[in-house]
Amino acid sequence: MSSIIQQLINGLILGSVYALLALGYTMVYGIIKLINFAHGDVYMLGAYFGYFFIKVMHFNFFIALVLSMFVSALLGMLIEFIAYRPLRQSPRIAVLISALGVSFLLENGMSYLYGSDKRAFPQAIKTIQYHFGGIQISNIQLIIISTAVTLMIVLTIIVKRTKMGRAMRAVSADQEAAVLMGINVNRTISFTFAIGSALAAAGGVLIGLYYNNIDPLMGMTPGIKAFVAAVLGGIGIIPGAALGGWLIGILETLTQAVGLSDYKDAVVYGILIVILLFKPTGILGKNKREKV
Amino acid sequence: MKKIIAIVVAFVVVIGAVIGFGVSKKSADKTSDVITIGGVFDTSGNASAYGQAEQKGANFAVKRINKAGGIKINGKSYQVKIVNKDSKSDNTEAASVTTSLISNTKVNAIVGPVTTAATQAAVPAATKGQTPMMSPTAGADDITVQKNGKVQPYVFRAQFKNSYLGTKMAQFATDNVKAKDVVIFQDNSSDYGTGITNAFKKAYKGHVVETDSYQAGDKDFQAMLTKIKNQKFDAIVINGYYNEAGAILKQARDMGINVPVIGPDGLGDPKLAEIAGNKNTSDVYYAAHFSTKAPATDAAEPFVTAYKKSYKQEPSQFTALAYDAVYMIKQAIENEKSADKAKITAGLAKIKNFDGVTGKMTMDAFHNPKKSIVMVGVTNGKDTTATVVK
Repeated sequence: MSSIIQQLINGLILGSVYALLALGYTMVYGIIKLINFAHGDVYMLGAYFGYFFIKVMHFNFFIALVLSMFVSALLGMLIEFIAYRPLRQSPRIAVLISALGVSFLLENGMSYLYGSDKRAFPQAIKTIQYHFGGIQISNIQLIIISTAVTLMIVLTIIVKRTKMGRAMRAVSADQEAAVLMGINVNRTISFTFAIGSALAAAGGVLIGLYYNNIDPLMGMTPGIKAFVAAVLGGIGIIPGAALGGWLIGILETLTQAVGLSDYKDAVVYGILIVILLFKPTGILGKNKREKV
Repeated sequence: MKKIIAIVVAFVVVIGAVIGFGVSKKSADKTSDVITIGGVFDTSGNASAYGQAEQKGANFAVKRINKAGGIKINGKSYQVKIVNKDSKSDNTEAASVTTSLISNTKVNAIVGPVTTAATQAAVPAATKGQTPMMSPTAGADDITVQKNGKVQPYVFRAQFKNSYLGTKMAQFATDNVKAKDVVIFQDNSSDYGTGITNAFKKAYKGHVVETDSYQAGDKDFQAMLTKIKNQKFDAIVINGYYNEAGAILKQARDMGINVPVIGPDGLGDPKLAEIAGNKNTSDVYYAAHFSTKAPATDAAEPFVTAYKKSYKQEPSQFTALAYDAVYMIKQAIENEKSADKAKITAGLAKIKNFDGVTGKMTMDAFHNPKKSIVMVGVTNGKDTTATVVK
């Protein structure tokens, strides 16, 4: 019994990081209908910024976390400004290709500049294990889960309670109407990229600390999994992304726990396909008729 | 019409000149007192760390052979010349430099290439050129085997094949670690991990409690480790490479799993301790081909001393294997009393009880050397012990 609970906790922690990434996918999709394939690489860059702030600048872990979120937010805005904004009026496929280009540029650029070898992430926080009954949880796992939950709450407040959040929702509902209401669409989109990138960077730094290694291609697999999580939860729906992330994390852990480690990804994605067959718009998605 | 005749004549003259040149060069070679060995090493690109170490080892072997009077055949001394070409960590390049060494340089034998993939790419060239090729470090089981199950006639290697590692690791687990129950984690994204696991299971006398797989690039091993944590086992065997092994090691030790960890040569990299953390990298044993701490034969000590004197650094296992590769070719020439390519090939296949610096070697029917391995023990991230497993 305790080992099942332990596995669920493991899945929850893994899922938290997927959820942080999935939020960025879903927000960007919600607002400009773009699948931002470079998102996983912003997560990677976030981890490298964290590495830089801790290892070179010797900042405290939490300061480094906030700083790398901030720098990544700026970077996210820059990517949007250079690679997506000029294509705002082009067919959607052009922006998608541009996103793939940015992804390759970031991955190979980092490999070229800093080498494709794995680097050990500085252990800024010493691992301490806590035991509750038969269950074991480390301080780092607690940091991951609490940071993820805090950031999700902050995000909800921003989206629901602030003026900028209202603007985001308005642009997402109807871009042209939002312009007529006097909303600065470009600024709103920039802001969305900034928030999404900051969340991805937080995920990257936390993962660096947890697994103790980072490399230029670390964003590829989590990026794809987070994308799937976003679709599973219902793309464009913020709570759906968090739900999808946790679900994938837990499914992944449980398939390993029951002894299917050979087919881990096959089983997880098999289940996801089945879910999507029954609910094509995702778990929280509503069936909406396309207006003609 | 006249024009066409002129062109044909020009062709004949040029081709004739080339052939004539080639023939005259060949006849010049026959009379010389030099045995030429071709070196195919990746001295640039991804595999350059291995390639450079091996090129040094091969060059050093040639230098020592010549210093000791060369290779003697029927009382006559032949000097050895090595012609190295860079295969640039590229498979196509490996095949083309091999061809060039065989047809242009007219080498008697080839040492190299470095990696399994490059060796596989060079096999057709060596076979077509009927030239013996001795790869110091190609590990995959099938490089010396043809598709129909017969041995590749011209391909040899100086390191043991990968699955042989599993056999020796099983022996080490029983005899030295005294492990009765083990858990195996394997990288199932390549033949390397699964091949070693199969060989290990076949040879291991104890009980395998659990076998779990992961893929290269995986980072989260919490689920796998949680699953085994409450079972009874004396050791963990990780059949994969240092990146994932380092992560497993860190997460296992963080969880309080402190049993010995045994792994193949894929774990032998300083990055292992870097990723796992020095404190976590204790009671870890990985297989190596050669260690300066544990000389496998009498030939090892003088080699290490002489090498250190020349290069001011300790020889790596790659250097040692390339060194052995050249000396095996020398042995084959001396045994067969001929530097003819076919004779060298026959001689290499018959090598028996050869005292190499990496162990006493005997070639099996599939051109794989049977020899001892070294298990290097790591404490606090540093290599501290070395045990020869005979």
